[in-house]
Amino acid sequence: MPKKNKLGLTLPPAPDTENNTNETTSGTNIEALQKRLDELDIDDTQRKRLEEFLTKKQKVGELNNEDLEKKAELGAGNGGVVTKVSHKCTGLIMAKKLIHLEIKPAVRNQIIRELKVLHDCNSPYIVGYFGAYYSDGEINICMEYMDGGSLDLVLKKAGRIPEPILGKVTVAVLKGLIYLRENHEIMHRDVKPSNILVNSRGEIKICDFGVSGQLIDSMANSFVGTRSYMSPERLQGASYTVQSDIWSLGLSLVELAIGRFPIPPPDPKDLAAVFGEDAIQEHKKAAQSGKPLPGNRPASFFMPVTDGPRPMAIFELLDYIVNEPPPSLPKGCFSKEFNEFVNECLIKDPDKRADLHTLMSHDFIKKSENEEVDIGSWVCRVMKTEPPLPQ
Amino acid sequence: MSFKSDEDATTKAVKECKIAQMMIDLNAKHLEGLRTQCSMTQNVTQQEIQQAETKLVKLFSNQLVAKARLARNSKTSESQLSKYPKTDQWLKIVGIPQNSILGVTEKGHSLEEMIQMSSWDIMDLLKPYNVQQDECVKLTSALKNLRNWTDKQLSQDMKIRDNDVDLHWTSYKLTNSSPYSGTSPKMHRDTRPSTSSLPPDTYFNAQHNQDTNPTPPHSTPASPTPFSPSRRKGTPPPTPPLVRPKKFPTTPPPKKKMQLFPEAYSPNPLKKSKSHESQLGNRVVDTDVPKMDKKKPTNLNLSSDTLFQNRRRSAEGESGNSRGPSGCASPNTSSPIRSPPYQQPDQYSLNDDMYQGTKLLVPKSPRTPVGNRSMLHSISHRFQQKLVMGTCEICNKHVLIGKICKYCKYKCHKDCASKAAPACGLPPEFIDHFMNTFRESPDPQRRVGSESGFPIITKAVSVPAFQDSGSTTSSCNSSTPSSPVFAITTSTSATASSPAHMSASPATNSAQKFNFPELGNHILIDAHGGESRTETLVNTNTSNTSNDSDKTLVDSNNSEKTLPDRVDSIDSTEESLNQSWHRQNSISVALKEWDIPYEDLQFDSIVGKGRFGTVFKGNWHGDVAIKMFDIDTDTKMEQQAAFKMEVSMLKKTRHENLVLFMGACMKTPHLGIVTSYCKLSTLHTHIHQRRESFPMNRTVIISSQIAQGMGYLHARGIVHKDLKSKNIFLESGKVVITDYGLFNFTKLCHDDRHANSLHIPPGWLCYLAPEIMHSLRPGKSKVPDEVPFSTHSDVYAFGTVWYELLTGEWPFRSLPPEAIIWQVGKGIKQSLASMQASRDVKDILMLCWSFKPTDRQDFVSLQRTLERLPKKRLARSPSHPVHLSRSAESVF
Repeated sequence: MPKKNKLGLTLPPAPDTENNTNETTSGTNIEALQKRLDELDIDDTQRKRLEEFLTKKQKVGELNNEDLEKKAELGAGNGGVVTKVSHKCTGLIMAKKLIHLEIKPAVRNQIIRELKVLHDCNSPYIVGYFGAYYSDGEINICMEYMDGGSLDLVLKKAGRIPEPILGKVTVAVLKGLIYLRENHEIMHRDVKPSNILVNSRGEIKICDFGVSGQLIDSMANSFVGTRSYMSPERLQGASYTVQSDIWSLGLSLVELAIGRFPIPPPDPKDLAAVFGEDAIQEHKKAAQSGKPLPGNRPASFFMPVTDGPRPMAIFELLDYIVNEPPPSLPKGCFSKEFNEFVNECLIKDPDKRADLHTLMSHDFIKKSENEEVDIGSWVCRVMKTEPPLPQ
Repeated sequence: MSFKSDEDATTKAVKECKIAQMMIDLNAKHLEGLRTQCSMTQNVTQQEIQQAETKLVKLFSNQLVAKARLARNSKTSESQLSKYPKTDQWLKIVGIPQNSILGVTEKGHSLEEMIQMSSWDIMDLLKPYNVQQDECVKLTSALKNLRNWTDKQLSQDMKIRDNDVDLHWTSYKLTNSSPYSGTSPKMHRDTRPSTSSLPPDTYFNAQHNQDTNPTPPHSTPASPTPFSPSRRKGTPPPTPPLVRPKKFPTTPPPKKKMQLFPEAYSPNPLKKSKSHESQLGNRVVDTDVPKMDKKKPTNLNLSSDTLFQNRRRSAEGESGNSRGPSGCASPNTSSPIRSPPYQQPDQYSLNDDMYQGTKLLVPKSPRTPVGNRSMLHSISHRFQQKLVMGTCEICNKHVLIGKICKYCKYKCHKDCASKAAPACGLPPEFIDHFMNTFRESPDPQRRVGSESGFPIITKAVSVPAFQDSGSTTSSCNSSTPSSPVFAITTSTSATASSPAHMSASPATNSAQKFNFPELGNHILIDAHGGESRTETLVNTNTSNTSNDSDKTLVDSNNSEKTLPDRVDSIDSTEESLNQSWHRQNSISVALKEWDIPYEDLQFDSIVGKGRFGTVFKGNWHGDVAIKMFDIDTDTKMEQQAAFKMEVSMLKKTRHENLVLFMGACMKTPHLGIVTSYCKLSTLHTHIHQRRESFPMNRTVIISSQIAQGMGYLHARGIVHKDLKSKNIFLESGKVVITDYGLFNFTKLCHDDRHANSLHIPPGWLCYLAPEIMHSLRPGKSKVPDEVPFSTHSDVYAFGTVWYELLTGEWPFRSLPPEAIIWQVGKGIKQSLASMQASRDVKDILMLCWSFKPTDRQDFVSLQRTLERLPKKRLARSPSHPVHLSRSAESVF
């Protein structure tokens, strides 16, 4: 049954409605969809692009290994490898995530079923979803290909990301989170730079959200690294809430702004070397030119993050998150609004931490929404040196 | 040169040095292990030692090269580099005694300086510290190798990848062994007699006595053929065979470093040498010699080649074998000392030289000590780490787990071991003999020359009649499978084998050296026929000559040629005996014994994949489980070495609740472990997949079996490191624990894609104790022992298994890994509030999960606690005494 629902476009809010499995995308379905698009607060370009994507998706139909030709490896996420593939029939380029799972068919089917919710997630701030299938012990998830790659890759290229760009990123992520929460009652659970994708059209989208509980449970292996975006309350065993996503967003923003995972905090001397006098002007220029922000970053600045001789033990890092003051942006290097916004996100007590809507009305968001920044060309300039490698 | 590039070059050099240093540390440890824990007579060991030496030379050379290049390319001198290479470490690796190392390093000689020195300089340098000749020689040759290799690298200015270059400095005289001398590798085992075994020298001599032995394994060219002492009396009466020709267990071939017995010509013979393993070999020899002199004056004569041959011929005519003195030294006699490998190549050559003048070219017995050495023994302790229970002889504090010398039972803490007196205290008998001998033969040199001197072979301690040796059990431990017939004629007494005989030996025999007097008519009896005798004889002669120059002792292969037809049942039993001795004694032997050729394994199906590799069900004399390890090509050698260490641990395990270790594939790239196949399912399957819940009494029985198996492992000094329900099988109510001790080898697997993160397999974290959580680091851990696994961490893991048994769940189940790491690291335990269990049961959990490792109970007391738990409807079988008494009563 699940296979019949190739397009999944017509799903009503409940994910398990399998009666809508007709292969023909009837007019009513599209109409229904358009209605839902209308409900979204999006502009015409965004709407056009969404419709364009959905049209393409209809052409693709059922996905399987034979139809997909591997183009390149884009990266590896938690538990899966992402490759760039092209759909042989339509020539569409997609990103395919492979998750190796040794599970029983029942569990696997449940995962595929749960993933169908993704068909419903049509938002300018959410990476589009083509479909998922199971093959040879692997779950294959096919998604929209974002040519700019994830922000962690962009960060590597750019060194630091200018504040105006980050403003746009913040807006997109917040809107994406709000969309997931309000339309699907989903929490992201894993907000971090590598899950925020950009493309040359200037779109910023989030991906890899915890849509399938079964998938999360079945993920055999996990990797714990030098960064943890997990909120203090979550480390202490509290259950996951949207507030935890906000912490992760705040931490990601600080990392993208200063160019390094902010825990443990960098030495003030190093920070001083990184950030010049007239920081804000520099950011404006950099956002337009796509040139890296100036500043010498001494090796010691990166020590804790990159492959220094002895990275911080994982426990130390986590204990720092729980017990030490939260990270913040260096004083005087960013706008007051950005500073405040980040601080609001990084309040350790989840109850005192700002929630999604408070943040939406934050000055930083208002300022960023009105700012004219061409993300697309910035992405192109930053990533141009090499063909984009999005994850 | 720009400043920048200078800096780069410096960093690069420092990095190279650091890496090399790490490798050096690793290899030095390995080499140390090989030297102290392995049978030196094993081909495998010798090769490994040589390989390790070669590698170390290269590594030191890498450091030198890095420094030299830096010095050449940039003007800056780098202080960070000054500590590389470490001179003291180098000296230690070469085998210079600790006190000398201190002396040398205090003088501030750097390794760079030392390589430029001539061998004379080196000797002068070492002289003040009483370094023995052989050590000087070793150091010189090691330095030469180092210099050559460094020069080569520098001149080519590129890394030479030449794996065939041999840069070792310890030589084992394998190369030009006489055909006669060669022994099969198995034979070499004999060199490690068990404690109860006859001192090896005895055997050795005994073997020589029988010329008939076609191939005494150890008979090196240089080894003298001992004849029975008839010579003194002129023509020995043909002694009738005492009993029947016995097969004498072949002594292990002497494969020793040539530097043994350097004292032969060194001015200060009485030095105790430090504990490098070459010295280990000496122990027995030294001690034995005096005894031999004293007790068996009459025993063995060495004949010159011609004499020897004549003698043989005459012997052929004779029937029956006379027991040589060697016969007396039956293997059974328990020698107080475990005999170490006892070859001293140098000595042979020395002897040869000495005797050249006197026409005594006969093969000399390797055993013969040179005269001036008679009093010394430079036997270092042979420490074993184990449960000691006693008082540390150094700090006088109580020891529980420490080190104990196998020979003299000297006990001390592990940390104190370095302070232990360098020499192993000899058992009293030996000392007595030393003393006696010394008194009796004040002028060894003279005696050597004197005709009256007879090589003395018997060991004082070994008394058992040779006749007994006919029985397989009595055969000496040293017997190799194909032991040659032992036939000795003694002119003095027909029953050479009697202990009395030994004691009768006149003191006049030169104590320390074999004389090679002209032989009178010796009666040699070869049970197997004269043909082979002659053949061997010839071989001996040839080998003898050749050996003079190169000192090669034995080639095992050669010996095999002559031997095969002689193998009989006795031999095979002996062999098996040997095996068991070796199991205890040496890693290399173990390796050999446990090696299962990859080709012999039949792979059926893949049972599972772990982070270390793949588990197959297979067939090797029945169903087996085969774990094949994925080899990381970068660290192949290290992995192989680590793997061998693991195997040597595994072989020690024999317990009902532990999976049967059957063997291992030890040739890269096929590293694998073969164990018995557990047909039934794991505890994990029962609990987490089938969702079974166990009644309390079953839970207690299972966990107490686990505790029993684990307690055994810990008593053997093995830390499981990966105890979890997936590694515990339930077979018809019996618990079988698997995968112990493998974690070191597999370490934490890292995916290259996740170079900066730590791979956490499902259901792993909750078994990790807080101290291990603290040590988890992302990225490849270069230091293997970084993760502090201990017996205490095993107990923590056991607690988790106990929790699983009780609740059917893992602790911290719904938490993400980071949260588990933080919480456990903080000492937070899974809440037991919702758990339906008695206080006692929960107390056990809390005891196992104690934050402080030492607060956790050990398995022995855990098991006791478990036993005390109330078990519902537990049917207990009566214990033995009850049964016995009842049956006894009923009888009456």
